[in-house]
Parts: sequence; C-alpha cells; structure tokens
Amino acid sequence: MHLTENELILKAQRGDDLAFEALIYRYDKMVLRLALKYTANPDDAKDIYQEVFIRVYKNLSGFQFKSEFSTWLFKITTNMCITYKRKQNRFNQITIDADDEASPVSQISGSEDLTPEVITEKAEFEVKINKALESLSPNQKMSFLLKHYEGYKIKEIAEIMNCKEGTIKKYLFDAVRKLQLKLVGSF
Amino acid sequence: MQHEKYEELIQYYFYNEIDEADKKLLEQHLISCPQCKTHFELFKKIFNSINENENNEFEDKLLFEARAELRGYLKAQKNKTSIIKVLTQAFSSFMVKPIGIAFGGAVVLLAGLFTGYLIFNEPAVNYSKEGLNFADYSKIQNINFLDADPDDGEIEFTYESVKPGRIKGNINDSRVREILTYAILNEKNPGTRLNSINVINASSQHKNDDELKNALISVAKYDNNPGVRREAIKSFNELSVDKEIKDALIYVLLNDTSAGIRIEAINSLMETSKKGIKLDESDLTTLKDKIQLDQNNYVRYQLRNIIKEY
Repeated sequence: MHLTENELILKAQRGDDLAFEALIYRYDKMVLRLALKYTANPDDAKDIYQEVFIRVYKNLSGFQFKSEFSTWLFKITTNMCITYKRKQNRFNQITIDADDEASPVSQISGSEDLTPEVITEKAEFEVKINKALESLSPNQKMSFLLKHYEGYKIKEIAEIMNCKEGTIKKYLFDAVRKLQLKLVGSF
Repeated sequence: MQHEKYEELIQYYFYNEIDEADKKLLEQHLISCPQCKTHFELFKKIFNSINENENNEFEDKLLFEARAELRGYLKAQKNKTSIIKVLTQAFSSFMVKPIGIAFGGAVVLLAGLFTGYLIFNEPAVNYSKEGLNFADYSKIQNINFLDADPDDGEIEFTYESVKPGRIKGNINDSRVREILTYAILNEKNPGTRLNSINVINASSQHKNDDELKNALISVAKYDNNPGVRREAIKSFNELSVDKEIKDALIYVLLNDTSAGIRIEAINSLMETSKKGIKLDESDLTTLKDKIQLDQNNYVRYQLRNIIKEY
C-alpha cells in the first residue's frame, strides 16, 4: 500500500520504524548529495548525513506540519553543513586520481558515451569548481549549492536557511562574483 | 540603473526568476551596454558549464554505507531507549510504596559497596555476554575469534569496545549474529570479516535475516578484499535468494575487477536460477553485452552457458 508523506510522518511519529525508514529514503539521497557537494569529502558527507537523520529521528515527534517536511529536513541539513567542523585528521584535498573511488574522474567515468578526453575535461572542471566553492563563505556556498545544484527557488532557499529573500539574493550575487573571479581563466 | 543592478538581473534571468518588466529592461540594456553584455556572456558560460558538468550522482556504495551506519545507530538508540523506559516505569511504581523506600536505602548502600569494588578491582576483561551492553555493539571493534568452529553450536570471541570483552555464545543467538553481521561490514581485518561470514553461515536461523542479507550484498559489491567478496557471494546460496541477491550478483559480474569473483557470481546466478529466481529479458541483454566486453575467456564461456539455459 502506498502511503502519502503525511501518513508516513504520522506513523513514524508514533514510533513505526519502517515508516521512518520509508520517509527518509525519499530524501536521503538528496541530503547526502548536498552534504557531499558542500564538503567535497565522502566521509564528512556521511557524518553530516548521520547527524541530520539522528536529529530528524529525535525531533520528528515535534514536527507540526507547519512547513513541508522536505523544507524542515533541508533546514536541518543546511544548518548541519554550515556548522560542521571537518575532522582534523582528514585530508582536505581533491584528487583526480582515477583509482580513488571518491575522485571526480571515477564518479564521472560511470557515464556512458563519454570519451576519455571529455571525462578528464569534466573532472578538471569539477576540481576547479570545488576549489572555487571553497573560497565562498558557508552561507554563500550553501545558497549557491541549493540554487545551482538542487534547483530551489530563491524564496524556498530563504525558507530553508531561515533568511530573508534579499539576504539570499546577496549571498548568491556575492557567490557568483567570487566564482567568476576564480573561474574566469577556465573558459 | 547602475551596472551592478543589471548584473543582479542577469543572474535572475538565468535562474528564470525575473519578472517580465525587468527582463525587457535587461534585454534592452544589453543591446547598448558592452560591459553588461560581457558580463552576461561570462555568466552564461559559468552557468552552462556548471549545468553541463553537474555530476550530482555518486556511487550507491556511499549511500548504502551511510544508510547502514544510520540503521546501526538508530537500532542501538532504540534498544537503549526501551530498556531505560521499562526500568524507569518499573522503578517509579515500586518506589512509591514504603517497602520501596527501605529498598532504596539498601540499594544506596550496595551501590556504595559496588563502586568501591569497581574502583579497587576493575576487571580487565568482561567474561560474560550478560555484561555486554548489546545496544552498544556498534562500537565493537577488533573482534578476535578464540573459537570460530561452530560445529558444537558455540563460538567464542573477544572484542574491544568502551571496555574490552569476551563472548561465548550460541551461533543461533540473534544478538551474537547481530555483532557478527556488524563485523562483516565494519571490521578492519579481512581475516575477521571472512571468519565472521563463515561462522554466521553455520547458523541455522539466518536464512531470512534481512540485515545479514544487506550486509553480504554490500560486502560482495564493495569489500576491498577479493577473498571476502568471494565468501560473501558464496554465502548467498545459504540465504533465501530473491531479486535483490540476483541484482547484486549481476552487479558483481559487471563491475568486479577479479575474473575469479565474476566467475563465482556466474555460478551463484546459476544457483539462484535453480531456486526459482530467473533472469529476465533485461538481465539477459545485459549479460549478452557483457560477453562482448569481458576480457576473460572463461567468464565469456560461462556467460554463454548461462544464456543458453534460457
């Protein structure tokens, strides 16, 4: 039987673990993808993923349907990402070693119909983008990722990040300016 | 209007979040302003490049690992919560009676004695499985088998956790199996992972254990040790096979770099087929494509054999 999202939430609030799993599996790939994009590190992304859903698990009983569940979830995710402190003993480097499973090359190489040149070019651009993203402030970076990679409207980002639309516009404007400066030589 | 304002409008233009009036204003301005036109072209390049290079997909392995870790944590959390809840309820109903108050005094005295005992006689090893908080098994690591032979139905192993411990238990005990399932996925030592798989296979009650199945699928697909991957694939034959196992075997067949493992996957696919989980049209097309691509003659030969059966 296919349950609606609200039905799943209500069941999960009553302690139904299967409903909770079904609910989070609707969105967890997006959460992990955003965390991975934000941290550029699979281990950090997994940590954020776990912290987000632990928080969801602990606070779901207090969810009162005042906003969409996805908005609430992404609010938690963005807060976690922005406040996340990378573990000190991990390397903060991006590599394009094809043997490294986490590298852009290996992530792209699964795509069909791509020549090695195109794969390398895309991987190099991915590295440049990731490096450029590192130069943004946490809020600029999160606004940019939610806009460019997750496709949210400015109004929705404002709701997720608990800011005014004008503030998000400013973050995006400044983010794009910084990225332009970093990437201008890449074209 | 200043150039900066137009820069902002250019951004909204590409986001498709510009109103009609501003759009017209921008388009007119771009005709007459080379500076903003240049900015427009640059933004277009960046915007298109990001969209073209959008590589949002990541390997399922990462998601699978993240889900497994979360599931482990939530399970531990739930066990902890339910134990505490039951104890709290029992304790509070008991303590309101006069005998409860007397009992409370005795407990305080015993607690003092016990604390003293712990301070001066802290044991290095916990020798009984009753002493282990199973809710914390996700913290267990460095499992070392003292008796990995399940012939007599019992196994024994030590582990490191918040405190080191030692367990001797029946292989059919679901909690022992949970620890071993966790070890299959998370132990660093490949020998321990291998032993855990072998030991758990001796259990008579694991055939329908979904967590074990998921763990074995994950290991078969992603474990970095070929011996462990091979053992996980062999273990599928001990489980109630289903479509998930069949799909995992096809994944291994398509992706594993070791020809030996790919052959093991083909053998297991034959077994699953005998048990009623047949390959569908799409699977057969995939296998036919694989015949063209695989470098190994024997893999190609075996693939032809399995296809002939359909």
